[in-house]
Amino acid sequence: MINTATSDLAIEGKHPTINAERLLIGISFLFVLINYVALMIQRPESMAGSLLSLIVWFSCAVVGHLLLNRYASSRDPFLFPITIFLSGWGLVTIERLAPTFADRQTLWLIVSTAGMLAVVVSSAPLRWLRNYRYLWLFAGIGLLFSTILLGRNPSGQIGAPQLWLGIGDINFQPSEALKILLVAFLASYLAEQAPIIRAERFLSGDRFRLLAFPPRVFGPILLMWSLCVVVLVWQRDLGTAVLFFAVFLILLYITTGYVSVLIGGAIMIIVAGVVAYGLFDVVRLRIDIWINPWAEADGRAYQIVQSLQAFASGSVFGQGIGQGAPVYIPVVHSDFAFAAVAEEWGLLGVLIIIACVAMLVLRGLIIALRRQSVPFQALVAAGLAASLGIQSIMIMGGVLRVLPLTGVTLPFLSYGGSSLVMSYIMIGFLIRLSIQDEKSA
Amino acid sequence: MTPYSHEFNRVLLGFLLALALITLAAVYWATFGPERLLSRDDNPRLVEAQASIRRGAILDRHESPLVETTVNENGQIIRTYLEPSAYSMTGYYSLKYGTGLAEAAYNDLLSGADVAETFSSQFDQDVLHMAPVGTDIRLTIDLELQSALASALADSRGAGVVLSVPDGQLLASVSLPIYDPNTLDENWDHLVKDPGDPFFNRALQGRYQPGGIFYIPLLISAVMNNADLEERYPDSKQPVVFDDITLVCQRNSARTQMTLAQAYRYGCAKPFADMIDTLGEAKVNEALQFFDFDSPVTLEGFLPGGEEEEAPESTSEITPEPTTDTVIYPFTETALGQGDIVVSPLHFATLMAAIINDGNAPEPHALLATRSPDSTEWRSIEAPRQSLPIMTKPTAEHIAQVMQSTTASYGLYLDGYDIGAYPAIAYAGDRTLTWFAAFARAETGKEVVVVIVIEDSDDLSKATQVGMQVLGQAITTQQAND
Repeated sequence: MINTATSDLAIEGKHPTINAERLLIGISFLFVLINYVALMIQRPESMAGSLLSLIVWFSCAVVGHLLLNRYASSRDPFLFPITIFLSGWGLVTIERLAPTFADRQTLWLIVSTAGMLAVVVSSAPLRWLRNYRYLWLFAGIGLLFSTILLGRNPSGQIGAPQLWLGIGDINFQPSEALKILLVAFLASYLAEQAPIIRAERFLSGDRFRLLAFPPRVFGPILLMWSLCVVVLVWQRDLGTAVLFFAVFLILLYITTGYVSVLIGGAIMIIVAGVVAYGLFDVVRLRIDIWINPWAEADGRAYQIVQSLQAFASGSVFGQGIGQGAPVYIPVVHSDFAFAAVAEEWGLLGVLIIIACVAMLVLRGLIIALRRQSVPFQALVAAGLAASLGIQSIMIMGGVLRVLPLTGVTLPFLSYGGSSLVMSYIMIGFLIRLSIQDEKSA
Repeated sequence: MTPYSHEFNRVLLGFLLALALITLAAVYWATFGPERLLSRDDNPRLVEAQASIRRGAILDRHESPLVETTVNENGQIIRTYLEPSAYSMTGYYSLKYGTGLAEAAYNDLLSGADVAETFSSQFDQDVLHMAPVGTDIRLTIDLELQSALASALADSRGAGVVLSVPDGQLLASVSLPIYDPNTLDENWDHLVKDPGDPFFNRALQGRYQPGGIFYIPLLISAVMNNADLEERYPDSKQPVVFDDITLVCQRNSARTQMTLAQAYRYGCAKPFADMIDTLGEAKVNEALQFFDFDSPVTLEGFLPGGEEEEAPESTSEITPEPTTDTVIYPFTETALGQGDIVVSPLHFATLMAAIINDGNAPEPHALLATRSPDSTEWRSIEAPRQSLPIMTKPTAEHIAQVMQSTTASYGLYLDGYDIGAYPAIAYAGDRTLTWFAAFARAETGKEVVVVIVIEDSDDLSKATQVGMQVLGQAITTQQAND
């Protein structure tokens, strides 16, 4: 149902949400345009491709804005502008770093925008995720499992993780879809169990009680979560496994209120890291170069050392688009797009991205707060916000040597079709949940 | 308070703390990182920064371009060396192998490191990240003369220098064989193994046995010690033997008794050996110290300075191999130019310059003027120091007279000029080399000195022909420079 009063305001262009969003999109457009123009001046031979990407991005921004005005006029005014801003920045960065991938990312942007709008316009997707949670989750796990047999790596590198499924040139990473499916499953299950857990906590009065809950309550979700993690570990997608675990912990903490969940979970991650260090070469490598990259700066730690040099080279104001040398960082357009931003837009650019991530998480949690009367919706909003936030922190921390590298991408900025589509759909769900004048699910 | 408010607040706080930590890390690497990281050897940006510099042009004294920087269609900076005859002076610039000769000596100017830090240049570099633009330089060399010298020596291995007197400007300097700096990177491995040592600059670095050319400093030392130049020495044509070297008169003469001036004219060693005997080693040695052959004269910054330099070490210094069983007159051997004293063409040129400059040896230099990137005017560069007195004015004039009269007796002349020219042979083991040293002076006051060394040659007439050709061209150049 659409509120006619807000719709009238939207049509007249007087709605505060719409005006705020229009201003933010306008600022984003200026930023993206200036950078594209600077790039086109330096590379006149690829001007046509750049121009097309810019037009597509702008069209997605305008179409998205107009359709959101029509179907979600009372939405959160920040989510879509931040998303379109970051993805525009990402698009121009990919155009600069790996022009051959820019066309593909532009196409994925169209698909992503369409996906986002689809979940905003209709309440059905959220309803389906809730009502058919086991079906969706098993489908996701099934797809993930199929990568063991049918998986491939778009780079074609022998020995690289085979995490994608694909037909022809189109590849898709099932673990990306599983982020949403797992959050929805956890939210649905925990929302049902929340009253029991809260009541027990209220009666016991103990906020630090260890997790001694009835197996029938937590058994199914632990089982589902374990299946995801096992497959991920099997496929060496350890970054995503850590991400799933962290989201699980946060949702569990929100539901139970037990701090021990977070403390215990953190200890488990550390213990798992120690065990994995002994078992997996890739984990050993990543922890070794995290602790001391300088010893192998020309070898195994080359990527992280070049990343740090990119930050140093960019200093405060950056070298300017196309003026730095981030291409010396291997796979910069995917894993290390953040370092490329640091080199060419400087600390200023980095702080803006961090602020945008903080804003996305904040808005997601505010939406979750507003939806507390419907626990499922609150937990979905919190879970999606946490997923975006944790993934961003993991990759930014890895690139800056605050955390070991994990191989996850920076949402909206890094190259990756699956990541872009799923991130947009997450934003779509958050926008859907942010609509103030109706109950979404 | 709603049911989950407390938990949401804590989760938000956790995220903000994590992002704050990341912010701190970013600030650290962006502010302290440059000092710590950017100068590391594994930073490819250093090479990028180096490659983006638009080095200044190198031109000759008349602004004829010798080396220029252009940008190709891919935006790549290309350094082009235009004049093959000038390779011995311009040297090379390579991202991989460094710099040599003039490119090394004036690297701070050419790379823009020496450009005054104006607000505009700092803004361009620090904010707009524009690559520095270097300063253009004009060398003292005259391209026409340089080409003439290179052509004259084309079939030989050796070196030649032309020095302007009294200002000490280097008008030409050639060392052969030489490399092509335009193809240096591709041919580096081949060049460093080349037995001809193209990286060894024979004009500046070559320490050659002086042989018969050392009669000039001996003559000077005799005059400085008030030796009687009219004294006749018996058996003047008798050979002087050292190890397996026998020094005979270089030109035929019927005289058996000669004065030192005559011995110089005919290139006979015996009278000089007797002179040394008469005066004593100490006095002759003391006089020779004035010429400071142990401290070679060179052009500052042109030559490799230490073990870390890329250019290979010289293997071309020609010195006699020691033997054990023939007559040895240690100091006499040295004083006759066949012993421990070795000298470069440039160093000998300064000695020759002193002869026609009232006994004052000019400091040779090669930089004439500079032009900064934002200017159209050239700024002249002063000579590095005043001339150094190495003999008295009367001594110099006396020697000049002897040399001029000897040259006249050879039938060598240049219309309108007083010239003193002397070809000589030197022996180095089983190799010989020929020297040619000459000066020419005009009433206008502008004078030139030419010194040429040709390796593996005992052809005095060839050395004379080459030398006179260059001397004639040099004096014409000096007239044009007035």
